[in-house]
Amino acid sequence: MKNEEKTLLRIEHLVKRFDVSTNAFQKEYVHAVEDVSFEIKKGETLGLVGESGCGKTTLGRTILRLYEPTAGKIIYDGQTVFDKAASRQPDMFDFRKKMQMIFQDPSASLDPRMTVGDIIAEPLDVHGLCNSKKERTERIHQLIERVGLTQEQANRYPHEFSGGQQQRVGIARALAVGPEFIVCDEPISALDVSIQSQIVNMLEDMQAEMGLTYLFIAHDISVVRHISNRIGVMYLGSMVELAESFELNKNPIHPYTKTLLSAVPIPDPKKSRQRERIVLEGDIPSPVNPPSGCKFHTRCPYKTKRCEEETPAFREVEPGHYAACHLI
Amino acid sequence: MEKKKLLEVKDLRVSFFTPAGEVKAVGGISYDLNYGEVMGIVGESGSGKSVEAYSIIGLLQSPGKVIGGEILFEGENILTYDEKKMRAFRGNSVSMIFQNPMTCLNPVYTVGNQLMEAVLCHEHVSKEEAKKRAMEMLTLVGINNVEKRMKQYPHEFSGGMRQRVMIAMGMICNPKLLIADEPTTALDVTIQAQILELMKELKEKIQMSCIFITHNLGVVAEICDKVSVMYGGRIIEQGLVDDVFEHPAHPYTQGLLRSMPRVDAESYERLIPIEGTPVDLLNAPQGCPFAPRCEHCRRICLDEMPDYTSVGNGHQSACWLNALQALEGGSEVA
Repeated sequence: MKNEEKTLLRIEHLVKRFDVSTNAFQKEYVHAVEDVSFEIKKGETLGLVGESGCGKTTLGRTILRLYEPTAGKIIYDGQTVFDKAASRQPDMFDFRKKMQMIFQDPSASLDPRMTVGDIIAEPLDVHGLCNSKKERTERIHQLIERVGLTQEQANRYPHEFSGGQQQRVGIARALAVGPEFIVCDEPISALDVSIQSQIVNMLEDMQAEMGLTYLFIAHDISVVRHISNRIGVMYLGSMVELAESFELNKNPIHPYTKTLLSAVPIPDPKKSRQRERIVLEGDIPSPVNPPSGCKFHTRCPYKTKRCEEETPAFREVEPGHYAACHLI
Repeated sequence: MEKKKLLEVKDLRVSFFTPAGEVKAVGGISYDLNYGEVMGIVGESGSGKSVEAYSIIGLLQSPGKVIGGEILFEGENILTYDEKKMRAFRGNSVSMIFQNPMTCLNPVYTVGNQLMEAVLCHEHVSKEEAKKRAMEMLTLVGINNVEKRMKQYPHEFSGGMRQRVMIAMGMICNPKLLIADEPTTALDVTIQAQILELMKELKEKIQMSCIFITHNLGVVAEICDKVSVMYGGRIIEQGLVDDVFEHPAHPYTQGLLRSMPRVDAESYERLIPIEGTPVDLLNAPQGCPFAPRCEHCRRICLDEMPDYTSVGNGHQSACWLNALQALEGGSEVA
């Protein structure tokens, strides 16, 4: 059990801004990720939920340094991946063998001119993990069978596969280098309902088998809650609440989390009629000019004067349950 | 209370004639819709749910073709309408809301202009009258500051607001039937909740019939009175929402409900997926389209498509399993 308690990834005050200035004298930024800190323990799944534009995908990509962070610190397994304070940033090549990513749109993330076998083997080639052609073929077959496809399919091209099968190929590619940590960026939202559960179960099986650690990003809170040990809720670039997944469901603290939970339609007509629903006014404000103070105050039903002026701290409200709200 | 039928679809068949062969997108579906009722059509992509709706409103495009069946709207078969009659029918009697509001609004006209166009096309009214109607509609769908909003272009609206405009546009000529094709799929959950609340409110205010196409069972449970579950171009189960969700009779419906993680689940339960991949309609199986993925599949399922078996009050399921149970159990109610 001691192993499970070990922190695998720690990010501290991570910031990512995108420069969208159109005028040389007036700098404008999209504040995609603002001062986010959390830890992921080895073997656990941390879920990230939020609406589109809340910065969850940017956060996932920034952790892998697919986007260069603007500020903050990323530490993986005791080694620094990024540290703004350092003069030179470490080389990512070796980290890529440990940290991989599964992308949202399976058809867009596979090269249409490569066979599925070559797509899966590309990370192996890049990292020189296979000594002979025979070993390479064996490894491809092993991987492709692991994700529920057949050996013969290795010679086909991505367009010959359905969406669910393409996502399986994407997963096989992420597994090729034998990673420890995988960022799953909306891996099932492009798939049909009946296929989604197949992929979710496969991800769970692989985790149990290989001891993988996931950062699972999705907008569908019911899926995130199912697969994650802990969930972080993001709003407009900031993390507003972080807790164990069942605790979050039973005892949501932040008003935004409450709304999010009540907004998910339940496939049960009787329950959904009885349910009290909090409907938010308005839309998500622009991340170029985020509201002052608590970013949620423009839509929050409980806002006070203080919320407009002062940014609430992200603090531990109950053991293991963090939230950023003035009202608690 | 006897409800009056607004729409009756009888054995509708739609095929697409592609170079690769005939794709039977809709393979003989029947249902009816009463006045003031909201019916949900659920199904995965490629199940034929949108094609079916497009044929009601006469927007089916080549190579798609209705090859059989009848669509009776207030007793008249609209498949016999010519293009001129169809134009008058569309918008006046039936209108449609599409999935992606950005691609459906014209970016170079103001929102007010587009709303007024719908009225001016269908009714002989003055411009002032049309403008008044457009502003009333925008207020009805919850848009503030109408005077200013009328003069704005679609890109100045957010996703949720654009969808509200689409709803206003769909309802401006007081159609008897509104077809909503995945109206909330492109929206975030909190915005989806807003739109669903709006549609529920409108449903109370104006007694309009509505066909709600979606792949989200949760949305159906929330807003619909009736539901039809489609798979491989067929309606495999239909009935009142409460019946279908509480006692799903068809293995596909059962599987779908079981495979979804639920936000109201009390504890962790492993999902039970439906194995296999959705049916390829180009090489559709001879029998039940779901048979290759069904855990209860028997030989007869592969050979012959089952008829509907009644499993309760207006609740029908097309499955041999239900047919057998009905035979054995006599009056057994599922």
